[in-house]
Amino acid sequence: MLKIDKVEKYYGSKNNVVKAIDCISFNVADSEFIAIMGASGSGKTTLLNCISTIDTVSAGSIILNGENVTEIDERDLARFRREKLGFVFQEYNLLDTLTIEENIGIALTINHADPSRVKGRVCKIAEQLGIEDVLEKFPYQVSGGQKQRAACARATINNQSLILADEPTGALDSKASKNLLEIMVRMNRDMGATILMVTHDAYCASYASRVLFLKDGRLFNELLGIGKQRSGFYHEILDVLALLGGDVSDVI
Amino acid sequence: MTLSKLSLRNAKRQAQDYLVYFITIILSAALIYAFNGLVDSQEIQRLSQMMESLSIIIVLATIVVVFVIGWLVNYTMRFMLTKRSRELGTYILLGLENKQVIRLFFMENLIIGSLALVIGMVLGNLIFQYLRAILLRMFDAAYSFSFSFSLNVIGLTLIYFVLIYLFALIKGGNRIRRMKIYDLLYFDRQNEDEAVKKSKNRRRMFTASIICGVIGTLMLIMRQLLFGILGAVFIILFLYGFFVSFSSGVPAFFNKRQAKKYAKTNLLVYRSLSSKLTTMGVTMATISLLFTATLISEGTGLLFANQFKRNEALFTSYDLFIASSDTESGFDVYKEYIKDHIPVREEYEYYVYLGDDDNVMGYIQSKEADYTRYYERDTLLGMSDYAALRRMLGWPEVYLEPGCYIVHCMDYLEEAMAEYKEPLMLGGRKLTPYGVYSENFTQFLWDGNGRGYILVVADEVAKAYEPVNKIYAAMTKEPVRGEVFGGLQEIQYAKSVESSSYDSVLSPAAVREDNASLTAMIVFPLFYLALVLTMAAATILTIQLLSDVNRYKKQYGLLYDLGMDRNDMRQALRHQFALFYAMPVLPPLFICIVFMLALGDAFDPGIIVNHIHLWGIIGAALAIFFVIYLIYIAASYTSFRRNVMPE
Repeated sequence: MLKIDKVEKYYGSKNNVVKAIDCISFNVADSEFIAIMGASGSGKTTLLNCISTIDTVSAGSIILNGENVTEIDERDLARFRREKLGFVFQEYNLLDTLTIEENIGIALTINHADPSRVKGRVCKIAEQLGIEDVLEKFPYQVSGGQKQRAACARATINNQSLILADEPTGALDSKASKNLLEIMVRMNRDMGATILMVTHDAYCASYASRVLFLKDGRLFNELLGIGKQRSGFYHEILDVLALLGGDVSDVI
Repeated sequence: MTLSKLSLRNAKRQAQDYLVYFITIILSAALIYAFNGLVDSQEIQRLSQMMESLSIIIVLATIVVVFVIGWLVNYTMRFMLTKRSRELGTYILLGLENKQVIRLFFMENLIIGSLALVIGMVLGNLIFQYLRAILLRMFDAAYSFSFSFSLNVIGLTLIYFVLIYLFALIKGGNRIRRMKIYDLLYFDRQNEDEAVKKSKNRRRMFTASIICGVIGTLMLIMRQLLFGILGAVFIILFLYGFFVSFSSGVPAFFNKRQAKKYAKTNLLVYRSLSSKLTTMGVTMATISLLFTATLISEGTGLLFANQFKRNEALFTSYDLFIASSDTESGFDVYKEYIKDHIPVREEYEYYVYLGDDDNVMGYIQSKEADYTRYYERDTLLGMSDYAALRRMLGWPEVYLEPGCYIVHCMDYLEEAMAEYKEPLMLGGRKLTPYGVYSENFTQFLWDGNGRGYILVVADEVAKAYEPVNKIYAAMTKEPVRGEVFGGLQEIQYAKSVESSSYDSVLSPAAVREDNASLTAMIVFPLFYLALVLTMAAATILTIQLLSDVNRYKKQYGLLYDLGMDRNDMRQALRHQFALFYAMPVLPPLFICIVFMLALGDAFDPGIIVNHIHLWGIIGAALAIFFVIYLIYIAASYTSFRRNVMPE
């Protein structure tokens, strides 16, 4: 469903060009859960931003469900984002003046959905993600894990084709991280959501079905986790990371 | 870098952040300077004896202004403290003593304040010149531009400013002294809770506040001092109750109406409003209170200004008017004095008669409930007298058909009289209506050409009746005022002491002088207060909003990422903005309009011609307010939109 073809992204001026992404190509199949790993500065967030149309590519194409993302007209980008993409950020990025229910519902409002059906749809997805008890509360009144689950709910409620998650467990403790990852797996498995997750945490990546490794803007390696025990997959990932070098302290 | 350099640099930076605040302080200083300039000016004081009271009124108004500006300064400083608490906390962390930080903070604000004061005083001098020009014109005195600084006024303005800043700084300083590093560093993390939580209490409070508002407004329009004071108390209760409970009440309203909540941009708009009201419900109420005071001041000011203007025209249409209820003796004493002191162009003496019945008066009373009768029967004027007076006043000639009568009335009665088709029965003769005229004809006071109206009939019909008033009317070569007019008043007084009759002496120039003094004493201070209150309140609203720029920026950045339409975002922002500025104005708008309608009704009939006239005055009062308010809104909206909307 998603085809990344020879994507490049440069920064800087003529004399001093920095290649953030250097000719990356890969495919994502429907209902896949992919993790992209790499040290700080390896270009993983840049890649995510390019896919999410928040940033533009310098060369190459990104094709989502047959639509070339890089060629979408500036005016249609917003529509594309709200219809096709779901976002989960490291810092939750919930609106602090809205309740959890409203934070999830706003994704539908932005899509001009039927206002009278919003609440029902929010309740349904909240139940699936186990946050039905905190719907009335404000973000500052609930835990980080609950906030991130609300963000997940917001990212899928409109049946978005692709969920982009940028370090979703970055601000969570280990218990909440585990809980969230299990939910993401469930969203992937039971609800058929395609997830593209950027992380530098090997444990986090071990929940994915495939892991891509980036180094200095290039695709360095790829691991498949299908049919493997999670602990075994986790160690495989750690081995690749050891090869990768970079800031090991980030990894363990 | 020394401490003083650091604070100088901070002051510069602060001035940029708080441009709106800075400009308001400048304008306030300018207004304080200008109005106190009136108190100090010998030239103004000499204009009239009444002007002595002006000083007291201006000083009283200035005390209110000092309190309001003090509040504004204190509020803004508290704001700066919140915004910069991390910076101040860092100073303490680096080893500065609390005392030094307070001095730093003090210095900064002193620099900003002094700068504003200096600019304000220069500007104030210009405003003072303008006020002076208006006043001198009102008194028909010669005006010449003279740019001079009075040390007294500068001193006075300085004292007021020291009071303002002392008050604000003591409070701000106390806050820093009590604070610990942790508090300062994490000041902006504190969450505020809803002020009233339980929905039952909230609903009760909301209902109670609305009831208070209605009672208060009703009491205000009772036109009695005790009720007025009680009414003000109720209005205050209403505003505070309303704004504190309203913020908690909105979510309850929308929770019951899910479809409305998620429609269009409602969700964003109402949530940002309720979160704003939660944290600043009390401030919002205070601002609303200031706006109420402003609108009432402006409305009252304009109504009085209208009265004074109308008085001038209505009191008498002649350059000199003397009336006496003693119809036997003549105006000999007066005329002797006039011969010596007043160059007369034309003069005329005539009688006003009383007819048989009060049919016309009864009709007028049925049409105009406010009309109060003075005479028992309808007043009459002979046609030859009427024609002579019209000639003297330079009006076109009119013709009276035999067997008919003419009505001459004040403009506010014209419509009613035109509809009056009844014949008059006078001395056994039947007279039919022939025409209605409404030039301004000395009919406002009781002893003029009838009260509000007079019936003009053939001479022989009028003379058959008993005269009730004798009138001397004159057109003079120059206005009768000052000492010359005083001489006439002395004669009138002496005459009233020795006889039982009562005389009236009027000249438009003298009325004009009295009205000019009253305008200066009542209208000027009201507008002074209104201007300062509007600016202070609008500034606080603006600072509140601009301080939230970063939060809004984050919010809209996120909505952009989530794919919200640019047009939807713009609309949401506009609605948030409009609602934020409309909230504190709506209750005052309602109160003020009701108040002005009631007050407009309280004037003597004829001062306000009709409803269009009254609404015109109300419109003007609102326009003055909204022009200033809109300038603040436009300024903050442009800066807000530029900063908040994602690229």
